Amino acid sequence: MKLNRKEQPTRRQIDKINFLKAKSYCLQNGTKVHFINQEDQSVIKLEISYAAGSIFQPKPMLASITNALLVEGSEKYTSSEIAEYFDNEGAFLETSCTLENASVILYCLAESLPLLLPQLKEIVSTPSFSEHEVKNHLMIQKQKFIVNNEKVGYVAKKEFLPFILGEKNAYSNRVEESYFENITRKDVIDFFQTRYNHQPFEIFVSGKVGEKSLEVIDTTFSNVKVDSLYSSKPFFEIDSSEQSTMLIEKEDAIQSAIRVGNVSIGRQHKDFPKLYLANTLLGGYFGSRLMNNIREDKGYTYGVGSGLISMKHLAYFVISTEVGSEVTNNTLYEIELEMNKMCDELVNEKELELVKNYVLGNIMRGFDGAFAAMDRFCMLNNAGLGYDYYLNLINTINKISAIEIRDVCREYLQFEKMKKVIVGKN
Amino acid sequence: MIEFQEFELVNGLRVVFHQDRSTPIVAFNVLYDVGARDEDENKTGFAHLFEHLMFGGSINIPNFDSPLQAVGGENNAFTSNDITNYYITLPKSNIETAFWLESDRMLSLAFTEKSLEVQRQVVIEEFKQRYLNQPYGDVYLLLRPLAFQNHPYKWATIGKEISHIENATMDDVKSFFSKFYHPGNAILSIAGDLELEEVEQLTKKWFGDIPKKEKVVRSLVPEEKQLEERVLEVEKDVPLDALYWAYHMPARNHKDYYAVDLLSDILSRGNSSRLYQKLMKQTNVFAEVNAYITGDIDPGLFIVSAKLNPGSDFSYAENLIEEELNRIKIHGVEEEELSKVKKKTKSTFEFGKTSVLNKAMGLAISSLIESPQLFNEEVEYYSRVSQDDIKRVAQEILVQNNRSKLIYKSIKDE
Repeated sequence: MKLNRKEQPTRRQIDKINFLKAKSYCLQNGTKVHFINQEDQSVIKLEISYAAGSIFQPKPMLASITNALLVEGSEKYTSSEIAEYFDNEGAFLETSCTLENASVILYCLAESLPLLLPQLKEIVSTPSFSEHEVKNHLMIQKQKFIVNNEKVGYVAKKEFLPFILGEKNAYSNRVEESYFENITRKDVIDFFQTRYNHQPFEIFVSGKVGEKSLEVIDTTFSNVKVDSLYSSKPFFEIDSSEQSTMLIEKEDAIQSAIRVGNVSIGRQHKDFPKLYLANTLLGGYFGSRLMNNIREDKGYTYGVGSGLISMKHLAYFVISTEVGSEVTNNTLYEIELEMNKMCDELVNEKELELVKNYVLGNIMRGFDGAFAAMDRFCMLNNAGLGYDYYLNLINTINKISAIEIRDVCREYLQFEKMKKVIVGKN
Repeated sequence: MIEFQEFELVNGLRVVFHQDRSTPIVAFNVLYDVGARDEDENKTGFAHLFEHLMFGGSINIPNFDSPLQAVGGENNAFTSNDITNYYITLPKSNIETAFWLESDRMLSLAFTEKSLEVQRQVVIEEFKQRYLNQPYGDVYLLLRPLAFQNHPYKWATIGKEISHIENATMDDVKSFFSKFYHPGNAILSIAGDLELEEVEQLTKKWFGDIPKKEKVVRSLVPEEKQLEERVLEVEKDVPLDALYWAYHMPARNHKDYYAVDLLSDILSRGNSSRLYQKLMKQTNVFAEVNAYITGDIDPGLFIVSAKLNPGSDFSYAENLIEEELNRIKIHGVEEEELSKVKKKTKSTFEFGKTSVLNKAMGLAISSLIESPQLFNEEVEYYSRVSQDDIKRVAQEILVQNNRSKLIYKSIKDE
């Protein structure tokens, strides 16, 4: 039989997605441990997470600086001794500070865990925050900031949340060059005392997490003294200006960075699954409306996309791109056009099918392997959701109609209600 | 050890298959043995532009991405000076779609005017976004032609200049395809929960009838040995002074490649590395400092790069770096230092095994360099590097006459 190259081979529906699920339990001191065991792996990722993200900082940048300095010296070991210790085991030690959480993350061979975990505990329990390290770190970060501040994309990202939320909102997290001078060692120590020391933390561990590894975690962390969570009231009110567009000119910019978006709904909201699908259609994958128009048809950009960012106390929608500066206005026009189309016209059967299947494939990829599956769990855990979130999402995807897509866009994706940040030239 | 099986079709297509039962996702990787080094000096940026065009529709399939997305697949590609690599991940139940798509675009592209026009613009935007509109973005555009006077590595993958991309014609593009995009010039690497029989059967079904073509025999102009230091100083609108030192190093399949790689690790991998500890932690001179290799197949570069804090004296900074390099040349390295970086290599390999895509890609690249077995053997090669090897390669490579220096000054110094 002659090969028919014109027709796609039989498509098989994705009818079963195996959710590799985390198991959770508590240590003696109440600390929650969540784990996913994949026996055939030889490596582990272990994350210790605190409610010490940027929204909790009394001063700009304090959360991220304190977090980064955790590994730069402890009561028993200098920064270089710590680095040496972990590097010697072929391990990787990272710090991560988001708006809501701050973590220390260890990547290592499973066999190294008994040796490294006690060391990790010592670091996060008794960091030294020496004057030298604090100064050194601030200097390096300041220079990094100065370089980054020359990038239109970085500046647009920096300005976006303050613009849609108002400067006072804790999520705005403004960073400016002068702020680096304002951080002192005492500030760092105080923040550590408030947000890390004897504060509740959670452990997320994935990979080869068998009996032995769990025992080590137990032995190491069960006895850590944990008080109740420090109560604080970050400012979450939204108090943005009336202005709908912010333009920051950059003299010789050959590209402009554009951000279009607003406050939106999060994963906890009943409409989220529908909005998620609508967002995918609009700008959430390579064949999206925005990509097809602005990149593949017009060639204005190397990349354009839209996203729904969902956190504990804030959710927002944003379209991002960097375009040739001479087509900045054209791009805004096309963004408006595509968003209006989503609200005015019904998506056709074929496109809807395609996006549904693409998203199902993505969910499958999202649970592929212990590390990815743990990322999914972290997201659910942070949002206070269970795995039925995914059952609900899949169900919505399978059932959603073109009319529902259009309606959810009319509700949440109106171009006129969006704020715009442009960095470059207009 | 990653187990794999290999076979070859009559038309020259090499196939590597690694079975991984732990995942519902299959990685499907097609590597073409063509990169920026294969371009004409006056028509650079082609391999990369071509990568873009590969998504513009093939002879029987007008749209590459949609049919793939419709079966839950994802894909991407990249081009380097040596290779152009395309990869797909998709649920295994739809594996045949990957075979269908990749074989058709190996057979022939649609070559539409619209596709060429649009991708031309997209690549130009990419040129701007990544190389022109970023501080220090054009470093490689300056450093490459300084370090390489003869060999095609003298231009970057993105192209020497935007005008080459602007002037690309449909004929240029068609002849590029004809020359480099055929079975004998490709390696197909698949990793996932499949059986060898079905991989063989599907490969023969979809790729079997693609005509065999003669493989291009490379005859690139070899780089002549550098006899004295080259220096280029530029002034740019960036916040910090920077420097880039490029030394010539052995080819990917040279016995000393691994020693040179570990030398760069001892200098700069991880926070316990020499440059980080001595220069970043113990002085205030640098905002950042790194040592790394380009990883090229032909003899490539060993690079030391640094950004200086404002007010740092340039000569003083250079001397500090020079001192560290000399220390190794004179005294060699400690056994613990060496075993430390070897351990990192091993753990990186172990982490790599957790991803089907990583395995498929690694097997393809290893096949190109030597054989798929290289993927497993490399950890062993790294472990055999001795302290003497490190000292010796440092003495051979890190010499002034082998160096091209790019001094990238901030105009804000005025």
